[in-house]
Amino acid sequence: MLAQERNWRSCDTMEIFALGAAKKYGRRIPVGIRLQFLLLGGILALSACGGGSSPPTPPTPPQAIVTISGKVQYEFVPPNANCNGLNYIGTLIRPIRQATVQIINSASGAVIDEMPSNDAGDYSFSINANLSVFLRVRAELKRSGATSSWDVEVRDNTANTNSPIRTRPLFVLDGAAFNSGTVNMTRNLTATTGWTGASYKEARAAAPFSVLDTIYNVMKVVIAADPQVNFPALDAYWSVNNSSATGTGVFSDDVANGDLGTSFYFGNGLYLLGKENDDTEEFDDHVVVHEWGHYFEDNFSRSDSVGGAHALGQSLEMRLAFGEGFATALSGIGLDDPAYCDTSGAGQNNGFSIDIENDRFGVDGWYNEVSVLNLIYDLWDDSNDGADTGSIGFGPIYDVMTSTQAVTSAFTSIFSFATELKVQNPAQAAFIDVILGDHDIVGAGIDIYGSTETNARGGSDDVLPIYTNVPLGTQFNICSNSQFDNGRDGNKLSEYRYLILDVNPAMPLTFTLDNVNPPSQPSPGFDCTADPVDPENHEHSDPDIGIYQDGVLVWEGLSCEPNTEVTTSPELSGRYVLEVVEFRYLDEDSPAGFPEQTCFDITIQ
Amino acid sequence: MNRLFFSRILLLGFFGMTLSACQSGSDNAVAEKTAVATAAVHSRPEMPAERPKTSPGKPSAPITIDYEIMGKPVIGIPLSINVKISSGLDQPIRVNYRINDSTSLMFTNAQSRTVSLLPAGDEAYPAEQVTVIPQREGRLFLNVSAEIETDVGMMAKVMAIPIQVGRRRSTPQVSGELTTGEEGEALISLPAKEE
Repeated sequence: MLAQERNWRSCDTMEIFALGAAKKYGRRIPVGIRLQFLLLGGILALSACGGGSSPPTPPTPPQAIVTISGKVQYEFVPPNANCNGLNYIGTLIRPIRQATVQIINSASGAVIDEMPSNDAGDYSFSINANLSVFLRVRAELKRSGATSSWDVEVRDNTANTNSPIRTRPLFVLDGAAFNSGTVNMTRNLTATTGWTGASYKEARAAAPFSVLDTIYNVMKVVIAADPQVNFPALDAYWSVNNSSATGTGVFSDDVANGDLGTSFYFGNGLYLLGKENDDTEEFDDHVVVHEWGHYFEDNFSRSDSVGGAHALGQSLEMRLAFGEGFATALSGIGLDDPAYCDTSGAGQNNGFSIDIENDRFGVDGWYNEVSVLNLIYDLWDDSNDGADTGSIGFGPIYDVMTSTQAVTSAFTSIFSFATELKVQNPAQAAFIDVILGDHDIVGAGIDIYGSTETNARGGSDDVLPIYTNVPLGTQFNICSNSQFDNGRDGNKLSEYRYLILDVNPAMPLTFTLDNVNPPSQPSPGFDCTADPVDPENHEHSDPDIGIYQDGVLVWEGLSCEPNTEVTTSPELSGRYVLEVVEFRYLDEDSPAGFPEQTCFDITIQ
Repeated sequence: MNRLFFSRILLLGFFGMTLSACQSGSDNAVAEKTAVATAAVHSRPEMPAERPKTSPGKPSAPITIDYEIMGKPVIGIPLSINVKISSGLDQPIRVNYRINDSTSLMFTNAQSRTVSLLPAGDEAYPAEQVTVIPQREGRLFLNVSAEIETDVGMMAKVMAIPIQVGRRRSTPQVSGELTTGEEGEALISLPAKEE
């Protein structure tokens, strides 16, 4: 009798398992494979039952399967009108989309099952009844093997700081342990802001999920333009310790301490502020997408930006102006909202906004990031205003950024972008010209070098021509001018000057730059390499040169020799673009009285 | 992993689990863990030694804030901080000084919390000196915010000035609880509101 009972139990268990497993795996397995499960389970069940010849014995209760389903969400705090701080009263509930949801055995910690939430934040698991479990939502977006793939994680850069940056703790949202019981149940999880009326007194659970969901927003815009896009891995680093303090300048220490200074992008990482009463970004979604825009340029296109401090409305070095303007335009496009908002201050009750579509700030032109962000947004949006009477959509912008802009032989700028946009979209050429013209950029006949440009920022010196074609073996003169730089940032209009150099046949070249009118002469025996703290190191003119081919730096002359630069390259061949700059304009320790303009006689032979 | 290979893996796994169930008669019929989708693995670059200059950061107001801490911060001793604020806009700048943690620093009685700086010509603004009194050891912060009226409205810039008092390092806060995942992965567990 005992043997018969045991036989029945095995038989019964097997049948239930065959059905249960198919049900369990049903989310992942195609219908055909589900049928294999059922068939195989049935065969095995019959075999184990010995053909069903044993006399029936009382069945034991089957292992029941229950469904645990629900929705995962986060709280999002929108800004007040005019970006006058965060509006906690108006907190919204949004779905956590495409994040990994896990159901975990609360006794062993083992992951029983996992799945990405859908775009409504829904999840569903079928698991054994009467298990002690809890739900976990990981602050990550993971997809591989599909038409498009991605890998985004949100981590705390200030925790476990002895670990490499990419293995610092991942944020997860955990529900309470519960028993799976015997009937299906719904469990909804919400990541809350932690705001208790006057401050964040509770865990700021919503923050990493808000960052994640903002990134997903802009990824969807890219996916719409390129359904097979594969996003290189991206980490977003957010922490309650990430502040506007600037730290020591040792990058690893600053990141570990949260001394970010500002939010920025570097090396497939978004570094985002999060310190309460200082500056927080988790709900400043335009700021998050702006930084993501730099990730996009870095991975899908190309940026030749020199970086450095810059502010809205300034007349910038053209590569910087384009990179920053593109990133801000993308924030409006990615969120379908032109109201860029950056909150800060005590209680997060301050902030400033940019109307990406309409605001004009500073002198319009190819050197102003506000002009660039305006015009790229206007090219995209379909609302008509002023000169903006059309729309090319995001597809053409994406196509140019990921094709010709990535390999342009010029430096990346509004000229390389707009030229190729017109080439790839000839039917829209007139519209593009109008939009460019609305920002005082010459569209007719535009080329990647800005050869037809006439906007010299009000007739300023050393702004035009943008590039100078240089002859081999003949001396010519170029001036670097810090007229728009009041802080030794070294990244303003006319500080870098650009040259075009064609080399045929291939040959090594010697580049000689001599200051025409040196503002100072080195003291007898001065050696700029001898003593790094010698104040004289910062006194004299220091011309520098960089030589690029298709965006790749192939040679540079960066010696500290006073008033001159002489460097001999390896063999060069083809077209190059060169940058020439007075290094003292990048040198924070150069004297205040250093001339605003320095001019160099240059010979290349 | 293609679909055929995936189905074979599942069938083999199913056989194994079924036989196991058959031999033991266990009720633990459903495996604890299903096949976990592996995400795309891409290289992630390590950190550079110095702060990268090509990462200029988010759009900001046309205001520059510089500071210099005058002397060694000591508990109970007034500490002066020279603050230099500038802008190319030649507009008045409203400056606020703030201490978020009253157990860390306090202002001297004479210290103004809000000042309005008027440009003195040539984009120069008068330098400010702020005096605070450290209340404890650790890494303490004076917060400065500066606002300026621009063509597109009021714009603001903030800066936290760190003041290291003594040698004690402040322990970074963790929003949530540090824990580890199934395979030892570092996690920060945040509590969910459930319903």
